Amino acid sequence: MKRKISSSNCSFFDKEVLLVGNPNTGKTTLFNKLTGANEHVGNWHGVTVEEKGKTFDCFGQKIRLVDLPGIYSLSALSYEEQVAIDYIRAHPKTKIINICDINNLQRNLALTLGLLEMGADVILAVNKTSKNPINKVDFLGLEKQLKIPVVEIEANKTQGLEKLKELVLLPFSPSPVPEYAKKLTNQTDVFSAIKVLEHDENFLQKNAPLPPKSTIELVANARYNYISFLQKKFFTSSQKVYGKSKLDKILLNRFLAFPIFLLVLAGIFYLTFFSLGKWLSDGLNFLLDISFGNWIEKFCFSVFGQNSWITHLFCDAIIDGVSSVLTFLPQVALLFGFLSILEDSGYLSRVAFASEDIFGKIGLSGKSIYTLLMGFGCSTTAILTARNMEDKNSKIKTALATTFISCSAKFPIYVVIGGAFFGANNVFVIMFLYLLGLAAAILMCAMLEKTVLKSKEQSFILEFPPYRMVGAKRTIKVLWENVKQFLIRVGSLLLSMNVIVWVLSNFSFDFSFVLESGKMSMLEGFGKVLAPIFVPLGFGSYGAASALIAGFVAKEVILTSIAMFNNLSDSQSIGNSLKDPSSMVFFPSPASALSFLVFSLLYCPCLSSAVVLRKEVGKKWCFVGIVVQFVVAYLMALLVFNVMRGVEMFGFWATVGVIAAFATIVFALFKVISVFKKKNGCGNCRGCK
Amino acid sequence: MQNLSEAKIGKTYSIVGFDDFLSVKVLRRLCDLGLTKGQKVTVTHRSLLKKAILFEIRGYMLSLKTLLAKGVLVE
Repeated sequence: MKRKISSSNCSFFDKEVLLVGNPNTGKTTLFNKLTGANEHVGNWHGVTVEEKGKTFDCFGQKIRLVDLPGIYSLSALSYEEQVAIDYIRAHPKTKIINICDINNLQRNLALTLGLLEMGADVILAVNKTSKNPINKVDFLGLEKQLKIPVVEIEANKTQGLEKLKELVLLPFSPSPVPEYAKKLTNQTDVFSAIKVLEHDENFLQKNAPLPPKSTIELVANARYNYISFLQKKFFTSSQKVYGKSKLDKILLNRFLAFPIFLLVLAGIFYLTFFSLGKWLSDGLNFLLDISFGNWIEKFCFSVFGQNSWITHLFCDAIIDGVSSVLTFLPQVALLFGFLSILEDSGYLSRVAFASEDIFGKIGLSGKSIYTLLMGFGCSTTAILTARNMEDKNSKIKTALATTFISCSAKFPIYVVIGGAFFGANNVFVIMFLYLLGLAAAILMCAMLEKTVLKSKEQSFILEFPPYRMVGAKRTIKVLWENVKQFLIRVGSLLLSMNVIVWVLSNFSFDFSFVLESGKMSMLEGFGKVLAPIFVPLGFGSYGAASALIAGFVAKEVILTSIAMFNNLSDSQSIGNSLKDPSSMVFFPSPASALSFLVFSLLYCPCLSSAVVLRKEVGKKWCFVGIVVQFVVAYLMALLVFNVMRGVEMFGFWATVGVIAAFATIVFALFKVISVFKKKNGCGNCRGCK
Repeated sequence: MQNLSEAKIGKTYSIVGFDDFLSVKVLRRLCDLGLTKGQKVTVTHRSLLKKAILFEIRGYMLSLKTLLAKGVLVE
């Protein structure tokens, strides 16, 4: 399931207006309110990572509003900030709505001043004014002092939006440049001069002498001195600190922070997969079975006859294939719902803080946890959020790591196949798979950090948003949105993929219907070439190989293909058919089933992830990432298969013993190598020095 | 004079300057975020392995990698 990646609106418009502001001030909320769009919002800085435009009707004029990623100043540190700044720089004659959070007005105004230095036409919209804000502001006084229109708004409701719309319609006229800025530079092009003082690479001339580093502080001091002046004159601040909460005493406790996070995650997965989600899913399965499936089947039988290829297409590709995934609708929607609650609550920043300990070590940042968590939902959209990273190599690593994470498209496979072979113990199998995905991601990052992709300047600078209660109304809206998107995905991508796979598996190379002509199907042809690769992993049937190939397009297709190949629609009987040697996809033992699950978890990103990955990290690293994934998947599946087979053959403890012995040897070898490295070699030659 | 990473939890310090090892980009960002000379900061939390530090500044909460906090001089 995906959120919309971009929604460019190419239709005609009279005028463009940009939404600019600090991260997490409510730009996207205002954007959604004004344009009626439904873009993703959250309580995290950097939810929006690319520009999004949409036209709306403003008293008869068509205005194109552009929502930009949040920025702190007009010099970028991370990738999504660069997107915003590039856009602002490329549209100098465009009106800007600068959104400020009233609770954090001091720092928010620093960006406003930056925009004024640039000579932009700024409307200052002060947001979050209705809920007992930390600062009380004399808006009229501020308006007179800054000589720009100041509007008091509440983007969640509609307060102040009418006035904002009226201001948007005024013609472009640059706002006055503040006096302090003119004094600072004594030049006509104030903005460029200030950017030179700030050492902004885009403004430094090649041969011109570089000002001392302290000029960066000089500019900041000038800005903040002016803000202090404004504060004294126009604000009354309470002593409260924005984002500070008593909850943090527990949730950020040095020793409790991480265990609590793991508990929260475990709770989410338990609710999604084993209690609430499972009941809903079983209910839906029952409904689908008695109504929808039977009805279409009977209809086809009566209209086309029992053996016509049309009947087979409907029964196999549509009923069997699609309904095998459709029953997971409640669980997928729930998982996304929980992730969005987590995101809205403000808790993720705390998690990021606690994870900096681990992620800093492997060259990522605590912020990577956001990307990885979103990866549990959908890796395609999660990869985009890797733009939150400040360092190029960290960004690549975070993006590549995300593809290892077990996304929501993969878990129906675990439930069906794992459920058949492991019964009640499937809880542990699913847990193992989720942890394996995470471990593989972390290991790969650690290896890349040590070898070719060392992070040079990954920093961790993160602002803490306040905790926020997540309302029932918003939760329902998010759930409904996810149900809708899931249905669209099933109805379009999965359905068409099923039809393709069905055609390949039911027609031979000379396009005759296999059931009538008895020739080999196209899929059988391809599958049989590739199947031998998977024999060492324990699943050498061509059906399994074909399902994996088809699964490259979307991971759910692995399951829908299996359902189609085995001619069954409900998960219970698909599971049973997997143990039956006469069915097309067949696993001889639990070991081979588990190995198949491990392989499906890791083997490659889906098509849409691969496309985004290529765009975000470039051709070379996308290719390397996919190859590494395939190799890791193969090795892991091989390992799991053989260990499991060992357990089946020799018993649990014997296998544990063998593995422990093997691990000790490997560990000892590594130790010996590191000892030699430390002492500048072994002394026999001078090669190591 | 000490750096922010050594600050005691709960105590208020004021910023006196920045160490030279901070890169231009990071220094600029810290300045943008309101870490200016004379500004008061109060450290409130550290992570388990002390790799990250959380503090109050200008009425909001900001967390930093400890390595970067080492570049912020306080007293």
